[in-house]
Amino acid sequence: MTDATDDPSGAPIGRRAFLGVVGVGLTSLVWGGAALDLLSKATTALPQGVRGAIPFGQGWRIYSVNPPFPVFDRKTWTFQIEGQVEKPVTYTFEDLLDLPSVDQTSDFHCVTGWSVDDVVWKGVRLDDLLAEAKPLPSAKGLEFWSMEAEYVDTLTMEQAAMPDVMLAYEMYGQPIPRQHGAPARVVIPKMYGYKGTKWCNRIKVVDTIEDGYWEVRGYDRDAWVGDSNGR
Amino acid sequence: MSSPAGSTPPPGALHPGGLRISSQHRVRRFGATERALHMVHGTSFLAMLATGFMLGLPCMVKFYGAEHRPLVLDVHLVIAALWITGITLVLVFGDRKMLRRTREQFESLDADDLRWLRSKAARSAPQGRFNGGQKFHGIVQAGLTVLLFVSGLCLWIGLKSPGFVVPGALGLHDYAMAGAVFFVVGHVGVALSPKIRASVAGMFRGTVPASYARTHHADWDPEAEPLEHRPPRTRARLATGGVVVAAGIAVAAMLTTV
Repeated sequence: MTDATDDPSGAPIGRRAFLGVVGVGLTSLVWGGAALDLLSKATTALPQGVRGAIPFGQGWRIYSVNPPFPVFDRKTWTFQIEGQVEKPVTYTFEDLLDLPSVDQTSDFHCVTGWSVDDVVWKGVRLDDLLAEAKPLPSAKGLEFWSMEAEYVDTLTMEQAAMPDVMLAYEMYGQPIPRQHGAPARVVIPKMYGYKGTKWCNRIKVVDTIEDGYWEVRGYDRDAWVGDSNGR
Repeated sequence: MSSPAGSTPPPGALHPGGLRISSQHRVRRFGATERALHMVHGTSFLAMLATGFMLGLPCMVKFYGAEHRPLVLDVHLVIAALWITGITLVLVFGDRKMLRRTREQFESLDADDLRWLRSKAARSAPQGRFNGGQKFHGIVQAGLTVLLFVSGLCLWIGLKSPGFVVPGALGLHDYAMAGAVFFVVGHVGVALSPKIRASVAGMFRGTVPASYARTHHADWDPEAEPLEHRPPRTRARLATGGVVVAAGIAVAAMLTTV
């Protein structure tokens, strides 16, 4: 009950307690990500308003590489498809809306460790998007370019053909908000979020696949959820 | 030789170290170095907590607009740089010997202190300068601070160099933050309770009423505490302080993303 000004009656454990807190805490660098996922999932039973007010609740954490976010002007915005195609195509936003659309609900996983379950998207499958341009046999992959300068990411043709990959223009039944990539972003549920180019306005069909923005900086090119980037 | 907090020295008396006891019978509890450290750490923690909430709580985004998130992140990181800079400056210009002694007093947490924490009945036992709760709080907060720093560093490195991925860093940052908030709420709540409100004044003025010390820290002898020794502000020390400030500014500029 005394301190260093007096003679302690018992063996002091303060330093061990400090090291214990630090040691146990540091082990969570290994298991903390999985625990955070579990906690996030556990909050799904809570009302959305409550989930938004707790750090373990599910919620988006917005990243960009070159702020401020690009601005979408419906009158001038176009979407280009070029490169290894029979016919380069330029769509207006209205053209994009006229293409066959699909709805899907899928989970979103960020490589930094957070996830959002059951995100509702509406958009165009890449097969439908590329149908008019017709990729050439030499095409090996797609580069998705963003209105946010320098941001680009890639998929192989096989990855782009996965049944849940899309160019989305609606999120939760509303036009995609600016911070989420308005007016269109790539959605690839099986891969981490950095593969899903936001503010996407151009696809270049290529015969050689290059690393994208984050891959140049060290992330894996094939960003499979749970099986890439050190996981 | 020395009078414990349980006795009241005459007004104007000097204890052997030269500390003058005020006419209001106040005794020195915290030195300027300790108070500066507490102030730097406390204000930085609260500022980082506020910006951290803005970053981490989805419901906060609508108040500042998601497009301003990079700016909020920068503010968070700059405060972190200022926090480290401030603590380093306290170490450069303050009484490190006093801080070592304070650390030893916290580390003296023992089984009696844990009993004090667990049982109200045990709280009648006389306490030293820090009671069991204060020691426990200080130790846990120190540990959580290390964890917040390490996990924050991992997150920042991951942001700048994505090849360095620590999957649990975000979780650790969140857990450590939640734990720190829990303890801070308890710390502030207890400090503001009417019974021991005088202790808050002690953190700002450095002194507490002798009657308070007698009641709550009867086993503590204020006069046995060494006087604070502020190292002279030599050119070398001032130069070191300048280097620390310059390094702090450089780190803050390096941390920012906008």
